[in-house]
Amino acid sequence: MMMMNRQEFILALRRELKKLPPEEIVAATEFYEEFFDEVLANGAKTEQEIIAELGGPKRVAAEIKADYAARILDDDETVVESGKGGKTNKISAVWWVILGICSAPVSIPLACFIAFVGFCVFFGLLGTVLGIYGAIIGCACGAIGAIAFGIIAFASSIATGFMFVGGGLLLAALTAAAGVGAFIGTRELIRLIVRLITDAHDKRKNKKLAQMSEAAGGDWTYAEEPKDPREGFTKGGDDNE
Amino acid sequence: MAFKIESNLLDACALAILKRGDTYGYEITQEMKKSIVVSESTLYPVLRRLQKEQLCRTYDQPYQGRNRRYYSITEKGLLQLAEYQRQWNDYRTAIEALLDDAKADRKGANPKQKGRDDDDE
Repeated sequence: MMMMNRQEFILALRRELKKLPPEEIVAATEFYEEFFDEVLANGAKTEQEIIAELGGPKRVAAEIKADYAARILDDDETVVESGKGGKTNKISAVWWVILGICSAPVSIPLACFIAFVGFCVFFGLLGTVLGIYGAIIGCACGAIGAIAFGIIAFASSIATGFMFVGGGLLLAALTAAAGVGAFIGTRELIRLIVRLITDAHDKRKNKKLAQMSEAAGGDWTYAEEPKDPREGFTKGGDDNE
Repeated sequence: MAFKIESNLLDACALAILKRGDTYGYEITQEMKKSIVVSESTLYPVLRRLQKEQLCRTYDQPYQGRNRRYYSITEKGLLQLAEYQRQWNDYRTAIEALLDDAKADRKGANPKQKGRDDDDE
């Protein structure tokens, strides 16, 4: 990633921008190709240094996408009365803003934080469960010990022997009950977690599918330009030649 | 710098540079960086926006066997620049008044602050 050259940068940039209208991709590519030409002709910097200063293809693409989204939103406000296509444009613009936010570097620390919290909760639960099982095993050992001590104690005092053996058996029974409870509890907890995860996953999958069909179904990318009422003007000045 | 340069302000700066004469992308970046702190990736969206709003137009010229895209301010761009200049002056005056006011308060006695708040509107 760090050692990217000019060609790789342009390719990566185009990949990042692939959902924009083709003319936007062409314009951005031409601009950055020329930019490389100029800086390299100046001779002061290497390709890698230029890319580093630009902040990498993701960063460059994020700025372009953010600007594109803002432009569609602005356009919508002025073109809204012309009716047709307005709605799809607005939805896709919002979609673009979301995309822009997701590709911004801000989301990385946030994702790290969420992952961190997830880890904490997971290990917290794991610790609790292990603790409970540890306690149950401890009780079981105590019960066995008490019974063994009671049997030995029969030799010296029958009463003491009965007390310890009885206490040990009581403890063993309680331990067995607790063990069964803990086992059922753990099973239910695991089921609950699995259900939560699959639910969240399904929800995200459905949302993503809905968004994708929106983006694909809207067909806004190509519809946007020709519908622009100022198109007549643009011809001369816009992308040249 | 403590203040973030907002996109309309960047537009205004780019228009101001273009008003001096036609020039190409890299040159505009360099000019911009002389006056304000901007990252190099910020400029392209600015120029693209100006172009889309017909505040500037472009033409290509060959230079040393490659292409240079020149940006040229339009009539509409000049009008927009004048509007930006007017609004910037208002904005600057308002902010300066507010900040100078705060400075004066700090030096003088504070108790009459209540009354002052009522006067302002």
